[in-house]
Amino acid sequence: MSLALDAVRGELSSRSGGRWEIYAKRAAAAELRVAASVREESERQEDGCAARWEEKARAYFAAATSPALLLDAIRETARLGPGGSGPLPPLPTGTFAQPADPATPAAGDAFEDVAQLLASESKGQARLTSLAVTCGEIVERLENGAGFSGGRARRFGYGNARAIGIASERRVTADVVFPVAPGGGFDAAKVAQSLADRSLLPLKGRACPFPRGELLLDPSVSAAVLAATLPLFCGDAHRMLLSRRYLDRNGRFSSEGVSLVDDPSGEGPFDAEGVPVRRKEVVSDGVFRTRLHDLASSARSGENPTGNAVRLSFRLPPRAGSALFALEGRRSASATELLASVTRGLYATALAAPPRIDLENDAYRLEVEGWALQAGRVRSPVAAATIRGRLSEFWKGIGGVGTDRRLFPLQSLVAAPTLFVTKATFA
Amino acid sequence: MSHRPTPPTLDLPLLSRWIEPLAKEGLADLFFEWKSELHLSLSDGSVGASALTVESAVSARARRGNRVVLAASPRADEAGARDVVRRLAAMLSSSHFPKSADGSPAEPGRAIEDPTRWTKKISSLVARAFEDRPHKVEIRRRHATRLVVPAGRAPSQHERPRLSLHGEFLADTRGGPKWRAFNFHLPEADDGAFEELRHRLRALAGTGPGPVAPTAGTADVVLENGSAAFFFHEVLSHPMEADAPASKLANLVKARLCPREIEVSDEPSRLDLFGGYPVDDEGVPARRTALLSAGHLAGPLRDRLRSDPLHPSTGNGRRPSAFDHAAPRGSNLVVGPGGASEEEMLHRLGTGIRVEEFDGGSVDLASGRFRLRFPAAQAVQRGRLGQPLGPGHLEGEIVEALAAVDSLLGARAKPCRQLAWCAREGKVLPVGGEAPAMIVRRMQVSPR
Repeated sequence: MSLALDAVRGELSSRSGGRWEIYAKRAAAAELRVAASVREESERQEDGCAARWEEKARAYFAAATSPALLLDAIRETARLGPGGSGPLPPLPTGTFAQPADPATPAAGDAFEDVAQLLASESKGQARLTSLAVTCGEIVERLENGAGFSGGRARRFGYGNARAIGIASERRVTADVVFPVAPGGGFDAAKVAQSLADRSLLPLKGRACPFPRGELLLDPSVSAAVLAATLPLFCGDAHRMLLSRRYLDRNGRFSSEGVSLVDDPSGEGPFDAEGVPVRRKEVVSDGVFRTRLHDLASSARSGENPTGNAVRLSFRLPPRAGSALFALEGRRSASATELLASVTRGLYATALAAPPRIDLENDAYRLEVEGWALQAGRVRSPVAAATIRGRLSEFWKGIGGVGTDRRLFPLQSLVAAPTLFVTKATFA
Repeated sequence: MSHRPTPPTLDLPLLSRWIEPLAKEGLADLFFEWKSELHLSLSDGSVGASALTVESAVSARARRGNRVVLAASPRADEAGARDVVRRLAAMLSSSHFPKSADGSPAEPGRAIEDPTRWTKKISSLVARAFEDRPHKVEIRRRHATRLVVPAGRAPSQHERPRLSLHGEFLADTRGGPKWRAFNFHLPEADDGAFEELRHRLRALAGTGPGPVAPTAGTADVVLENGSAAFFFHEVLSHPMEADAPASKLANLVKARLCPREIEVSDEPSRLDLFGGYPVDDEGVPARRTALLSAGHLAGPLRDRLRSDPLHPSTGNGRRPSAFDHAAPRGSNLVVGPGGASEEEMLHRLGTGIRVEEFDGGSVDLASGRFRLRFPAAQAVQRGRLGQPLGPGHLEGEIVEALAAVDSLLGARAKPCRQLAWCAREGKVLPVGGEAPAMIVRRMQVSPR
């Protein structure tokens, strides 16, 4: 790839002098998907490269799966027109080590283990229908005309399990997405337990007996709300919205003791544009502290870059985001202690539909399943409940944070624990 | 006239010789894809931003018993094909390796045709469709060329350009100017579609979402403007895919589920619809497959893996990309027309709601529960159109909903331009549909 990138470098230099950037990605992944009648194995090697450059004070973007195709795409994009309204932001400098090409890992088969655990967890009422495990490694290389050159490598893994819950004539499908260790291992017991809950609650449960009360959110539900809230802090798009709707006069975003942290330590020494990264408390002890910027948004807003450029795919230009967004509590308690503290309310164990979070109008709506709780004990299963209200009140109403923080590969990687919310409305 | 990359010249007999030894149980193939995506942001007729992505990939696949193995590479030329066949052979512990080449030449750059003329043409077509209304439109032109080299069969190659438009435009309403959202998807070959877009935008400008939310409860619904295809895509096409786990319809084949007048089929060979293709991604020619015949449930949609001599593939083996295994998936959902006019349909409905577009849907195959999301609707009172309604959901159970379909159908089938990119288990494929106006009784309606 390096020889062919010479031609790309030459083309970009002739067009823009030193105002260019080349990104190249190579990934190796193995996937094993086992279903009742078929076992699908995949071994994939994926390449992608992208270029950004400036001509006549306008930024351009092109992407392709090989340097030769990228060269063609650059020439055609230059004829089509720029990729945005402004110029390319100032590019960073620096030299970092280049990692070796990724190696293809193996994805282990745990279908029988999870199937047996699920059968025992659900007392035979739920059946595993498919289990897919994907793991791999991504190596990214970045260079620009200002003199930056470096690479970073990371390993990834995720899985998806699907089961069917059966009770007399009624059936329901349940899906669980879970993180997988780079070596392919995962907590089969936890996956089976989640599948059993998700398969059986909709069959056994009824409506929530309370119209309002306290709320306990499983880490998977907390993570969905956290991931949907993250855009409020990214770039400069929601700057006014954040201060107008979500912060009080003291700059408070959430209840005391809650911190929202951008932690890019697992991503390498620099972000997707070559800016050095560091850990930042976006919300510290409930008070808003800093925004997360890529180069373009920091240039627009006149603030320093924070090393928060992310690339969702090589096909898209970098944008402001978080490599890992985590919720931390100053005084954390175990999930059991939080459950025991609920006087009357709902324990939302899983989302039944994608969360609807309207940042503009400060509103959220979660369709969940779970358990009705009373005096710190489980009262009855709840098949479906809709929790809705103001998002700003949700964050300011957090009364407890669990110690059971888990990672979730959602729109971005988020880490969230069990959350106790003091007041909520259930439909 | 387009920006598509030209595939390299490949030695097809050589590729067949490489893959054939791996077809021990009759199934092995090579799959190539060259695709490009041109993204334009148009604002009031002028191009604000653009980006071009050019991609290629190749994969080799083979079956051993219930084990299906796939190796994929981003290099869609003979060197890439040799690499994936060698890796596949290693995964299968086969000794049939293609010979190594002495120093593989670098993948050549492709001649990409001039995209600027196409950009000018599409900008003027879009500007004409908006009739001087201020607009912000995102246009994505996806062009894919696919080549399948199956062991023991003739290779087949086809290309499909598809256009997706979404955005908003300023409509003059009784309450003053308001921005209205729209989305519209069409195969590029459909020349009349921009005229259809112009009519649709006019209709949207006149009847956008109203301030009143639909009343929660049970209602009779008339599905117009091809939206019945969206309904059948969720309640019939997905449950009839041969790999659908524990589908509610699996044991009801040949049962009568709908009135006798209802004919529904999957028609990938309809290239005028968004989900069309001449040959599927396993090299099987596309053909019409009945899903509901005279109201009776017909057989499932099959790929080669889930076929046998008595039940051959229906030409529905589809792959989102070269990196994915093929699976049986629906394509264009086509509902046969009836003979009723729009007035007759409204009269037959009586009181209920009228829906012209859905912007999302889902189905739980095991429970049979489905949900369709509509951005706007209109109340109907005693056969007359009433006030515009806000966004909401239609929900129900598939067998009950099929039984509640009315026998009277509209005389004119219309393409459903909102049914376009369908995601199942994270795999996204183009789909389409066409349907006449249709009434479904006793649907659960809820506001969003």
